[in-house]
Amino acid sequence: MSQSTTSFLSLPSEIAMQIIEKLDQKDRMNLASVNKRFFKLDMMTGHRRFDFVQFKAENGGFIEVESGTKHQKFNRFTMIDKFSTFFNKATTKTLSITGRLEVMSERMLQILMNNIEFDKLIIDVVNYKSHRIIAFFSDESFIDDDLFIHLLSKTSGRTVIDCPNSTITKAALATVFEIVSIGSTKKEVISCVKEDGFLRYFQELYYHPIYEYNPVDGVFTGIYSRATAWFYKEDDDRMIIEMRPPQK
Amino acid sequence: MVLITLVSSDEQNFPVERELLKQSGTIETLIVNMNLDDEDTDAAAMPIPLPNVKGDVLEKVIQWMEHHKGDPVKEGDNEDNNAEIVVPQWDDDFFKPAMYGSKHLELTVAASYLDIKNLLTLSCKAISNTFKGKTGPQIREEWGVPNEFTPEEEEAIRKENEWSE
Repeated sequence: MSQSTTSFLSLPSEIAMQIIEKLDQKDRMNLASVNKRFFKLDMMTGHRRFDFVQFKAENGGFIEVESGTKHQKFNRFTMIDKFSTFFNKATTKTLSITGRLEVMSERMLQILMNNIEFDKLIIDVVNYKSHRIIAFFSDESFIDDDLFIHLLSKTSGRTVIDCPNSTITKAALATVFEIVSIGSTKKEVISCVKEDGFLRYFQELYYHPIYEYNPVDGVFTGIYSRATAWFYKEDDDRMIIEMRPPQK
Repeated sequence: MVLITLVSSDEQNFPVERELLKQSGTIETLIVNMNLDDEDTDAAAMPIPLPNVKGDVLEKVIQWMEHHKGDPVKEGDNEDNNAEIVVPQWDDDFFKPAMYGSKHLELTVAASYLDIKNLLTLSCKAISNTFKGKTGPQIREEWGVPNEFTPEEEEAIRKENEWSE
């Protein structure tokens, strides 16, 4: 045991950081309390893992982070450096964003979104249904094409974007359908969008020579890709597009 | 079968199968740069010195590479999902006897120096597994680390990491 003393303390930083990033948040904090060096290294190492990260865009924005039974808060007075180091390459099971965005909170949100990976995203959910992995609702039409594509590039599997008041255009829908068509990420996207975007994109596919339309079930199939896009109206006149990767 | 001789810091010679060395980014680069794959070159006559790796550590590294012969070699940055890495039983048994001693740490450092990504990932994961569910003082005791904090500093750390239960 005595021999290991020097070795453990003299582990090169890059190796110590690799060890740290493999721990969950609670174990990391315990390791950080072992000595000064590990305390510093923990601060510098990204890859934190959380169960729940909640971004509340109220009073200038604050963030609550939860892992197991522990939680931590950041607010608009937190140094931006500290904040971005903390969330560098972080992952969370659920990311929830609520409230109204303003300049300050938008900046925090931007940093957060650029750094964190998430399995599940909830944004001010009003119409939450259990099968939805991602639910989006925004009166402020805060979700635009860029954010829409950004969010989808960060998720895998079945993704639901519910934003009937968004400004998502047919161009963004086309980009997402291209991503789905490649099929490598097994992404399946269900989006509820504004009628305008829905109809324009429907027309585009209808007149596009590389898609076949089946009027009976309302499904477009890519002639080469075999990916499908199903257009329909839900009971309450909600416009839904379901995109599925090619079936093997 | 082409053998290439590795020389440890304490000047022990280890003839190793050419194929195995593909797992080590550092050695692979050397072999390519020194044209040791060229048939006209007498590979055995050109030993590769590894001044940062002791003989007993190098022996363990070679044992590990033999077991993992033919495994896919990772390239580029390590983008694994850290939560999902599982140390296989064989590797766990391989690391365990020296886990809390300097031997395992030396093996980890050697994996980093030799750029053997899979070995580095697994041995770091094995070390991080020893910290699971343990408090700072428990980790200090297990790894023989002295407590260098004053009570005031410990309190400050607790505050810094203020995570309420």
